[in-house]
Amino acid sequence: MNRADTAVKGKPGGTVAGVREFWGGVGFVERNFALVKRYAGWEAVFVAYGAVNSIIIGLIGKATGDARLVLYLIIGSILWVFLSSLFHEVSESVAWEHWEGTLELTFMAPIKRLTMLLGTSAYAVVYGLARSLIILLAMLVFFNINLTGANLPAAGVVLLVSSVSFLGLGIAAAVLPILSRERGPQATHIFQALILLVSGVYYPIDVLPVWLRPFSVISPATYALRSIRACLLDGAGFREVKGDILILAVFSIVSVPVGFLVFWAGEAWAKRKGKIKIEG
Amino acid sequence: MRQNSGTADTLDKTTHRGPLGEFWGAVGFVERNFALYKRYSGWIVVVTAYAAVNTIIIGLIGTAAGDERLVLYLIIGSVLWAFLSQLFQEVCESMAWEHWEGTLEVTFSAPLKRFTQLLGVSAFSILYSLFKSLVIMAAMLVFFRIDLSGANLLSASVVLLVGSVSFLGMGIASGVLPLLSRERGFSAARIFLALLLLVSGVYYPISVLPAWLRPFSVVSPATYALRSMRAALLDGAGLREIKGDVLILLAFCVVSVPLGFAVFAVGERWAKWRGKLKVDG
Repeated sequence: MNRADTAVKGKPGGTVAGVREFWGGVGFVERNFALVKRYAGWEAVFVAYGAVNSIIIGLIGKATGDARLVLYLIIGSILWVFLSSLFHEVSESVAWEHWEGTLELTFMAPIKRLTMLLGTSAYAVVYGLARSLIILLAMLVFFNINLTGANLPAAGVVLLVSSVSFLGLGIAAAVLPILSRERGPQATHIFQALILLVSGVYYPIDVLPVWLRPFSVISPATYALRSIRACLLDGAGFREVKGDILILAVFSIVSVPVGFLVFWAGEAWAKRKGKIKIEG
Repeated sequence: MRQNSGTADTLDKTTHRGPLGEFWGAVGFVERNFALYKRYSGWIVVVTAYAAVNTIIIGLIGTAAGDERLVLYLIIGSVLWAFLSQLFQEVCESMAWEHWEGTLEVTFSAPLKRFTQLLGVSAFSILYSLFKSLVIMAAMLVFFRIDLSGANLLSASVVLLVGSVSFLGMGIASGVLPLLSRERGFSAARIFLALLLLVSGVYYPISVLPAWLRPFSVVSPATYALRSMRAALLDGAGLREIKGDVLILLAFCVVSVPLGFAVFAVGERWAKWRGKLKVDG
């Protein structure tokens, strides 16, 4: 019923072009959730693993007897779950379609590529939030999380701008599965692991070897983690974290259009080379 | 002189019945799994890189705390868990893979004992887990100065051996799950592994777990493997000091391996009887 409704609303001539594209975007959100529902067993595994990993990281802090370290690790863990979901889901969605052989059909649908990517990005935001909330709930069973001194509005703004910058990265990375059905998603995973390593998700950057530290400067996660920890652990306000917010805003302003541009150029190249054809 | 070496040779050797034939049959499974991993070498690189990054990250938490002993404590837990969890999931993954590809029914119809198949897959899982752990260790050496001068390597090796066998037994038992349900079976094995990771004290002492979770750590062989491995490597404990844990691990081995085979046999019979192994589509 819902899917049919969305399809009708997405038909050309249904309403004005903007509304039509909006419903087209909603269709991608719906489709991705239908996929999650189909593979609910695997979703349960991924969420359980994510929760166990976050809990384990928190318990390392608990074992040291340092309550601040516990919160430091929990914040890093949850924020990474959210940001990596944003990055990963957009790219995964394209990789999935390429594996299933439906990418060519989706690219031929009477919908703008911008609509497709925005719809997939919207799904990534909702999915990332849902996953992070479930993991946060699981953590509440193990830890007493006290955020009384936290500056939540400032943390919210940091979350918002860092999400946009990660979505831009995710859109750019989504071109990789188009360029190579197998190597593309592999490269995306390796890139994600490197961001995790250099961005100070669980430790300050200065514990990294000197040769790795420069890489942390070009990761938006570095600024997101530093400023959100300042807001939640030290109650820092906008004034204190405005430097990081500005850097994240620049990342967002640059990464989103560059992401679309990279995707568009990659798609044009892949089409010219016949890389998105349905095989076998 | 044969035209095709490797798999073709191995297959020919299995036609000689008896223990030698079964031995070559098992070698065939090792070979086949290596061929599969070669085919998916890109993904093997990704999985290994992720495991290495995760292990390094855990070690860096210790570095940030400024505690050398904690760094080593975390690294030992991380590398040992990478090894044991790989042993556990390899047998199950092998069955799940075949079931997905639709070749399980054919493999089960091959003129080979199930024991041979499981031994072959187990042998592969030991080799692959060792390889993966060594790669992770090599990556860690770039980030950490690991000083094991005071370690008792003999005790550590004994713990590794008995710990491995007990995990293999559990892995063989869990190998039945994909036979019972092609999709949910492997998911269930993964969730079980996540729970073992949580309760076994891989990165922290059991005492930091909530009281209601601690009893579960008693039934995990990883608890004893990790505790005694750390005693051997961090404190140079000899076999006398860790004999309690080694004996418990031995008991796990003695029980889990035959039990694993028995569970697999019962599950396989049930799956055949219910037509769960059929090739779909």
